Amino acid sequence: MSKASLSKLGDAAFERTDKVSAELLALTYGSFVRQLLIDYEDAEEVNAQLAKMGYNIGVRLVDDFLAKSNAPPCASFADTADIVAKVAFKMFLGVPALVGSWSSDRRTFSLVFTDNPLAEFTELPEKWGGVWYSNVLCGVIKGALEMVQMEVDARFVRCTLRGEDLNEIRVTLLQVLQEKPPVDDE
Amino acid sequence: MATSSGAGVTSTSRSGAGVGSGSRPVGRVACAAVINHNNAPLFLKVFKDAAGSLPRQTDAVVRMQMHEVVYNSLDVVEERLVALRAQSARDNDGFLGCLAVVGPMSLYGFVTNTHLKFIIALRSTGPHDYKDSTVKALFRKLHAAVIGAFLNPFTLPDAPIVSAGFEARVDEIARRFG
Amino acid sequence: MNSARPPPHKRQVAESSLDFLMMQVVTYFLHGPGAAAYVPPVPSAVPDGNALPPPPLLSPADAAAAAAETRRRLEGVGYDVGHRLVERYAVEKERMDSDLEAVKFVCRDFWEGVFKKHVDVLRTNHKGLYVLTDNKFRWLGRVWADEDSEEGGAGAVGADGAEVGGAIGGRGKPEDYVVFPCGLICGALTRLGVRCRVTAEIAGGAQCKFSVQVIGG
Repeated sequence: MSKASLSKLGDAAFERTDKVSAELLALTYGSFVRQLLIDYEDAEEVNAQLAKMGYNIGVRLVDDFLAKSNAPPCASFADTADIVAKVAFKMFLGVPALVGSWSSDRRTFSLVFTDNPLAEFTELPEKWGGVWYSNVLCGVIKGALEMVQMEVDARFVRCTLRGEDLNEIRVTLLQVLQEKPPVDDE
Repeated sequence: MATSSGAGVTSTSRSGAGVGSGSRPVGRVACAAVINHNNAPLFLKVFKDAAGSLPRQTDAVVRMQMHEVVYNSLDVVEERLVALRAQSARDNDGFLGCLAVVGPMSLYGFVTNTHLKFIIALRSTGPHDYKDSTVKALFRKLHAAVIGAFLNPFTLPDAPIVSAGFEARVDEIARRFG
Repeated sequence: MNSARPPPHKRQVAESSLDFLMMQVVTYFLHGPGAAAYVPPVPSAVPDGNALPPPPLLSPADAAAAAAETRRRLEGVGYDVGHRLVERYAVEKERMDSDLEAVKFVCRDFWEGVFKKHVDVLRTNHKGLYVLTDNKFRWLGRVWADEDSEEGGAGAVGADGAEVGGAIGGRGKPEDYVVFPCGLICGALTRLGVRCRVTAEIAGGAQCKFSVQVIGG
């Protein structure tokens, strides 16, 4: 499916779905991140907790996505990338991402987005500079793709809260999984 | 580190014309202050030249003077709030009008439904230099910026607003006002 | 990249995004590492084949205190959100000259912004107690209801006897999902000048009654 049609699919899915204020989501997420920082007092720990939480979300979210998006089956990892960026991002966050920076072996790509509904007004204090504030998204990608038999690594490499111009998540296909029973996510 | 996302602060299309001596343009916004319901200061920014400070006065002195001026005007705010209650709640837009004229400045007040008080000091020759609608528009922008600051999880709503993004927005509001 | 985004207060996301996030937030506080008496799941046996002793049970009083503390922390997150969000919804609204006006605002404009509907019934005894009834509270009967129909293995049992984590992680009871909203309402009202305590009662189905008790004069 062409990128343009995927964009249309994403728009349509977002249009159809029930929506809430982005600020409500951002505040809930932000308050939670701040609480994690109080509880753990360590950027790496918080990054890990956010990724884990994202994973728990991802394994559930994928069903919602498949049911509501009319997304076509992925024929390739490249298809997957486009669907995540143009359909899933748009459907859940209201903003699409761009896919780029493919590695030569076609197993790694970047998701790039400027607007981040989780962090519209967030300013990360300097002492928390090691936190990837929106790390939950990496967990979601990992959890969701695992449910469709792709084990990936997803990590932030650039974040606007750290002074960069863009947000960039680097996604690498580690291996294609065989069908197996539902995973424990604890 | 600070983000300044276009936080819905719409700008009026004023050019940066200001009154001033010499070649440096002086803005008309002398001070913007945000004060909590319990009169604790959350933010106070002085734009020194517009405040009519003397050339040798240090920033700290000017700031202290402005602080005092703003706090004195809170008494008038209280009076106006009492008067406001006599009016219909429907007509409420929070605007308290010109609170005081102090030297080369006129102070205007605004109160939100959440009991935050905003004071803006504008460079003026008297209380009638600015139309109410002009000043109200300024307060709306300041309010939008404050809402944005509260949407930052690392700004605590009852503590002084320490946010590079917020300060940048206030600077921008003042700059665009001219 | 995005040329025509609406202004911040009009931007939206999928409601399911919030639902999924909320489920994890609730789990973290009530049944996960954020709980005051969290006991991480332990392996059922040590390598030499002997079973580990079960984690020490708290006394009922301690367990109750721990459970109350965890609810308080989750409510605190809701408070933080309500406290900030109300600033957005209170702009250019009628002035609220009394507690009743503030509560009505929460029932109308605030509820509209957060839950996309108004509170269905507001009752007061005119002595500082307000009961807000939402007949179809949005955060009940959504994501967690789907969870109940899935299989779920038994997870480790935490100190208060509730399931911790669970094989699918994120199971919870309906009561778990009204703690945050109590905080939300409390935060909003406090910012409007009404200091209060808020509790919730699930009255059957998706009906929820929030009781607001004003504190102080």
